[in-house]
Amino acid sequence: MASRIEIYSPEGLRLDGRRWNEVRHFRCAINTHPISSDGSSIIEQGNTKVICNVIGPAEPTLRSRVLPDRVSISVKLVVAPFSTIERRKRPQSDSRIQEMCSSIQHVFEDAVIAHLFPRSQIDVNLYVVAQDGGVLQACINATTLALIDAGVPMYDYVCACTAGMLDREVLLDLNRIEESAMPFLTMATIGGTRKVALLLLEMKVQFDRLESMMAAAMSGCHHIRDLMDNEVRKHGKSRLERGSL
Amino acid sequence: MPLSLTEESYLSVSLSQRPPCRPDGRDQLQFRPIDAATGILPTTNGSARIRLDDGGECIVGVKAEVITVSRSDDVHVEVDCDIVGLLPSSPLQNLLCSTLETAIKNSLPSRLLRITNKYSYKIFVDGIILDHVSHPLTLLSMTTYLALLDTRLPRLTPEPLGANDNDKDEIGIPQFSSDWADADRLCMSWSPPLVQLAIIVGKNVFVDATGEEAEVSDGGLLTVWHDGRVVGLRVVKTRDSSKQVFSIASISNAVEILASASRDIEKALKGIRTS
Repeated sequence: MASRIEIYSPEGLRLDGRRWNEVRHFRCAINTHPISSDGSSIIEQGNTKVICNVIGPAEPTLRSRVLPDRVSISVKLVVAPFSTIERRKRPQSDSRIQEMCSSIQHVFEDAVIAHLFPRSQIDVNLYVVAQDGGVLQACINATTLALIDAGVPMYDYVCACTAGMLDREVLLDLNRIEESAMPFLTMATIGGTRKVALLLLEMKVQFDRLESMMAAAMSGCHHIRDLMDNEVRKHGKSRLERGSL
Repeated sequence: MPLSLTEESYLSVSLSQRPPCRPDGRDQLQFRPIDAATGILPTTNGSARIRLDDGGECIVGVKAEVITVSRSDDVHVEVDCDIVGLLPSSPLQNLLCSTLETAIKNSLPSRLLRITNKYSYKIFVDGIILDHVSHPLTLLSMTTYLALLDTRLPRLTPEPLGANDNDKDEIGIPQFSSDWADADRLCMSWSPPLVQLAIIVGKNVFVDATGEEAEVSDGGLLTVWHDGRVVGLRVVKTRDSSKQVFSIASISNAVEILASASRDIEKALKGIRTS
């Protein structure tokens, strides 16, 4: 009954018709929740949809979270039970979710100009409502846009992308089926530079093939940076025209 | 949210006088505008999202799974909601989930979920309430209503030869058509129930209460509306320190008001079709 799924055809086409170096359909919107949060964004990468709300910088709610010289960032991730093909409830204490939260927190602790807001806190709330591969990448991109919308000063965009290795072929921006078929890494870069903010590889890959995966992921990140920048500029221009800035 | 004594007194006097005066000038039966969309999630059988203009937002996704059943007529529905910021076992969450689950289980005919004698669908209704300023019950119920209206179940292939049960028994594990356009809507012959909450202030009843209005209310009444009539009732607490004493006359008044409001809301929700 199981049909052979051809992840990468000999003509160079993937399951959804993309080439090896094409990212999925990227759609983003910022300032989507102006009332309930200080900064918000919705990102759609292919079928993966993530909503991000940022509240802050604000007075800390817990004394234990106060850092004397920098802002403290807390990340909360809610993965909806209906986000995957199989319905599964994931409690907040799930280890995968906690791991992703702490990775995102570490990335943004360095990317945000933290010393400008001592003794303050920033709360990042992420909601994954649909998953089709590349969840961590979408979460990082959504957080960047929401922080920009909230007006939190950052050194540059933080853009993330995944890259996988199928035999000797590198594929960019994997979906769910591709992620389960090959080793892949998630990389986040600081804007268009070659500085790497996050590199996550959870499967075995031959060492000499790692560099080409990283190079592909980096170019994917730069491309996503341009897409996000376009949207931010477009949004800024429309707000200026409306006179609401 | 905490109100000062002056604010509380202003609100409670304006809402208890006859005729009442709501802070935003609405009528007792007037709802605030909502922003609704259906069919937004590709991984679900049905989905909907409603946003209120006070920042409240709710996303509901309906998923159907095939389970093996005995010949009983149980309706397999599970409703779960996640109110962001609250612990999973909080009383508010229990109230929302149990009210909706009971309402759906009591109204949904089990034949709509049946596939064969051995197999049936189990419907999971999961809601996430991203933000709420007023009581989230109405928000969740309206979003669930829209999501269920949008829900489609894949069609069985091959079609059973006869319409009688004997042929259905011979089919082993059911096979489904992978053409999504071929799927059947769950709500062809059934309308989901609608749960509405009204607050009672003195002798007056208000629908779609804002957070501040609920803060000065004596209590709330929820009704379950299905098939053109009220089928369930419950008194709920709408603020922490409410005295919850109201007369039978105000309860029956509230039920009438909610019935007519539910009728109008159902008509309005059925008119929303974005997918």
